[in-house]
Order: sequence, then C-alpha cells, then structure tokens
Amino acid sequence: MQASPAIESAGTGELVRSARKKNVVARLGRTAVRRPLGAAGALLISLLVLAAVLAPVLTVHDPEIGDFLAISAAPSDEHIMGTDGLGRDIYARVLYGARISLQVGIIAVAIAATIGTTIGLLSGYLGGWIDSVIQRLLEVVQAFPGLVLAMALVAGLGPDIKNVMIAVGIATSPGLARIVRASVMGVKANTYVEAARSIGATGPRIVLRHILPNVTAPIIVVATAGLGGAILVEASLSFLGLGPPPPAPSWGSMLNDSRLAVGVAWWSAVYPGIAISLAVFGFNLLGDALRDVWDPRLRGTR
Amino acid sequence: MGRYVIRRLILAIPVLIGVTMLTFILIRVVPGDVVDVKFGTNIRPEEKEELLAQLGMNKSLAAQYVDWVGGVVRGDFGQSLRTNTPVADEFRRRVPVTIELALLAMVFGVTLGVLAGIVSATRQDGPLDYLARVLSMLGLAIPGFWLATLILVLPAIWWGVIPPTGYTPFTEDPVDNIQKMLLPAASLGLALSAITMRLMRSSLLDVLRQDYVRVAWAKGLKERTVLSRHALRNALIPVITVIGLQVSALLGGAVIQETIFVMPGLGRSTVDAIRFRDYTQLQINVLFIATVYVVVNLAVDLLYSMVDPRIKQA
Repeated sequence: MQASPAIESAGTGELVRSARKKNVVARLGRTAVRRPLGAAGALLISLLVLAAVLAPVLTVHDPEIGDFLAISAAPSDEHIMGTDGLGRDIYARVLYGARISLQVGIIAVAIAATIGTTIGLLSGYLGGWIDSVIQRLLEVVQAFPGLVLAMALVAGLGPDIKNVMIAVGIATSPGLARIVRASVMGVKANTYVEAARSIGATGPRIVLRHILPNVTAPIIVVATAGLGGAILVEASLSFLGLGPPPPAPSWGSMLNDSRLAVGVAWWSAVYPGIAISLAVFGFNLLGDALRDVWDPRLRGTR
Repeated sequence: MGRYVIRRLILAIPVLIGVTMLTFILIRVVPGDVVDVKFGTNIRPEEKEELLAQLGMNKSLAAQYVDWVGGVVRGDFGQSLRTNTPVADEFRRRVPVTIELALLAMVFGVTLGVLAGIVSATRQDGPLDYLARVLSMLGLAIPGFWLATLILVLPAIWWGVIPPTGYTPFTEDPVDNIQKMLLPAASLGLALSAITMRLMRSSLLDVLRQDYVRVAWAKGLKERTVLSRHALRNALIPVITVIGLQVSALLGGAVIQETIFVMPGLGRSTVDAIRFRDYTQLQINVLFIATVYVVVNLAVDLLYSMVDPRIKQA
C-alpha cells in the first residue's frame, strides 16, 4: 500500500479525516458508475436547483410581467420558449417556477417527515392500544385521496403558497408514518434496545438515541421519493386553480393557462410539462437508487 | 377463516365512522361558508344569520353532525346548499361517469402493467427489461394531466381537430361513450400501469428464484406452464394489494381528468362543491370515495387471506 507524503506528515486525526474524505469522494464516484440511473437523478435535481437559484441570471425577462406586443409569440431568439397568452416569457416562468416547485416540495416533505416520524415513532414504540388507535386514524386519513384532502385544505386555508405547503405536507404524512412505524417495529426487537432498557434508559432516550438513528435511512429514502410526489400534488393543485395565486409562475397553473390557448400556442403546454416531468423523474430516480443502497427491504414498493 | 373475516369487518366500522367525521369536520373548520361565497359582503349580518339558520348551520358542530348522520342512516343526504336540490340526485347522475372512468383506467393500467412486468422480469437485464423500466419511471413522472392537456392541445394545432370531450351515457350511444372515455381513462391509468409494472417485475423476480419454480423447470415444464401455473399466481398477490391501495389515487386523479375532458362526473362535482362551500354535496361525494377505498381494501385483505392461508393466523 502506498501512502502519499501528505498523509504521512499529517497528524493522526488529520490522517483519518483526509482518508475519510477521499473515501467519500471515491465512494460517490463508484456509486455513480454502478448506479447510472441514480446519478442521472442527482444530475437532474442539481439542474433544477441551479435553475431555481440562477433564474435571475439565466434570463432577462420578468416571469410575471408580460409584453403586450408579443402575445402567444412562437419561440424565437428573444423568447426561446415563446410567450404565453399574456405575453409573458415562458422560459423565465419555467425557471422561476422551479423555485415554487422546490420550495413547496421541500417544505411540504419536511412537514410530512416531522409529522410522520413523530406519529410513526410513537405508534411503533408504544404499541398496544395506542398503536391500534393511531393505525385506525391513519387509515381514516388515507381513505381520502391525497389530492382531494389537499384540495379541501387549500380551499379552506386559502390559495397561498404557504397553505399549499401545509396541505401537501399533511396529505403526504400518513404514508410516511406507516413506513416509520414498520421500521421502528423491526428496530425495537434488537438486542441493543433491550440493553439500553436494562441499564435503565428512559423511553424518550431509547426512542431518540437508539431507535431514531436506525430508522433515518428509510425516512430519507421515502422523503426523497416523496419530493417528487409533493411536486406533482402542487402542480395538480395549481392546475385546478388551487395553488399559489396568479401571476406566480407555478408550472401547474402554466399548464392550466395553456388549455385556454388550444390551437394557438403548443409551447405553452409543452415546456412546463417537461419541467414537471423532469423534476419528478429526477427525484424518483434518486429515491430508487438510495433505496437500493440503504434499504433493500423496501425494494419494489413505492 | 370465519373469525378472521368477522374481525376484519368489525375493524372496518370505526374507520368508516372516522371517515364520516373527518369529512364533516374538515370542511367545516375551514373559514368561509356558502353564504359568504354566494353573497360576499353584499349581505347584512342579520340576513346572513337567518340564512345560516335556515340551512341548519347555526347549531354546534356536534349537533350538525348528529343531524347529518341521522339523515344518512335514513338514506337522506340532505339538500345542496347551492342549488337546494337533493344532493343524492346529483350524486346518482354523476357517479356512473366516475365509476366507468376509474374502472376503464384500472383495466388499462393493470393489463399493461402486468404484461410489461412479466416481459421485464422474464428477460431480466435484457434490452426489453431496460426499456420497460425506463418507460415505467417516465410513466410515474409524467403527470396524467399534462398528458391529457397535450392530447387535447397538440392535435388541435397540428391537424385542427379537437378530440371528443364530454360524456355520452353508455345506454344512449355505446360507441360514442367508449370513444370519449378512452383518452381520459388512458391518461388516468398511466401512473397505475407504471406502478403495477414495477411491482409485478420485482415480485415475479422474487418468485422465480423460489425452489418450487426451480423444481417446475427441472421437471421439464415449458416456460408458459412454469409461469402460468407456478410463478404468476404467487407473484400477483402483492400486486393485488397495491392495486387496492391505488384505488384512492385513481379516484383523486379522476377529479383532474374530468375537469380537463369536461365530464360531468363526481370529481368535477367535488371541485365545484369545494369552491362553493357546498358542504352537503361535498359530504356525499367524499363519503362515497372514502367508502369505496375502505371496502376495496377490505375485499383485498379477505381475498388475500383466501389465497394465502398463512394470513389467517395473523
């Protein structure tokens, strides 16, 4: 084995750290080669994030102010994806739309993960009648289609980006709760949990220090795939006019607008749809790859 | 067996009661009521009070719930807050549209998904397998409503034709009925076919590695026989479960497809009811959707226990 001079001269702590860093990079590279689909997903998501962050740099047009001299203009050098029925640049709206999709997706999934993890930990750890009651309650919520639940919530709270996040988060949480519960049931049976209990660890300590760290992998896997789902629900809500109010450049509402221009402007229907599909595709690919790596038991489930 | 069935049936009752409560509470805790939506600020407070009293909406939430459940038990779902006609009439007019749409979508999605899953699993890592897997990932990512929008928008631009939308009752003109159903059903069933395919593939791959399948091969049976007599039956069990769970997504997706294809179904009615705070209409629609979900999944569980005797002991 060849040691590089840099490592030889470094202290032990430094040595371990640099070896670990190298290890991570090398492992990432190997993973990307072995899981090209996952790598493609990560790439798509990076592009999405870049589009959202760099939107003001990547376009000179304002996503919300239209040019009345260029209504439903075909793609050209000036408007590379054309303009919509109000003369707004579609390329700019698609880029800025990535901000809405990402924001709603990430925050909604964070809400879902918080609710789902809390309920799943309680239900799985406590067991007994509490578990039965929680499971029945989750069944009740799951009997409502996620979209209908989110629609009802948004209709009540008012169509506003914050409320869309809350609604999508709540509608996504029961599925997460069930997966966390199932994982907790498995982890709970381990000897180290028994050991912790035998040295007098309290319930909360066992749950937070011993069980939670061992169920984070499935949580992250499900949350990643859930991001795609959350983006889809947001787009569906916007499509039905229940998303962030106009003139916000939400991809779903862009598609809804495009229906009014049937026979006029294909570009207004095509580009936002491609954006939604690629975003969801990216998160699904990455979620799948993470699942294969971290949690082979979940393979094949959705 | 009998005891398992009874236990499952009893467990479904609290869930159904919970469904009625959640339906009821969810839409009432949200601010704004039908009077606000109808009249906005063009109404004096005392007039509003009177209208609410007429609609029975000045009572406590619990009292309203008891009133409503009492009616439901007698088969009276109440009058629409918007049109003053019985909501059950509107429901009966609209439910066949959604049922037909969802069933067609399910037939389409399951057939395509199961067939593609079999092809994919039996040719693991071959080109067809990769093709099917990539297509299924796309099927999951492409929103059904985008596909539907394209189906309507693109032909109009290219050839100046707009595919038929709307709804013709089957009894009136079966051919027209099917023609108008095909596109919405296909775009609704797309995601289901992708999910089914992925599950069918992984489930069949699992089964194909089992000893009894190896024995079947060793006996010299043909591929057809091994698959149909030994592998498929077992591989289909998890697929059936997931299809049961997907019923809910299908009925939710119908909301959007009905909006796009201008079909007078339950989904459209639900969207309108939400928009106008028409609580009574919303209650019957959502109660139906949730009940279908609970009943279908109960049926799946029972079916499951018949196919797999190990479940009964659990």
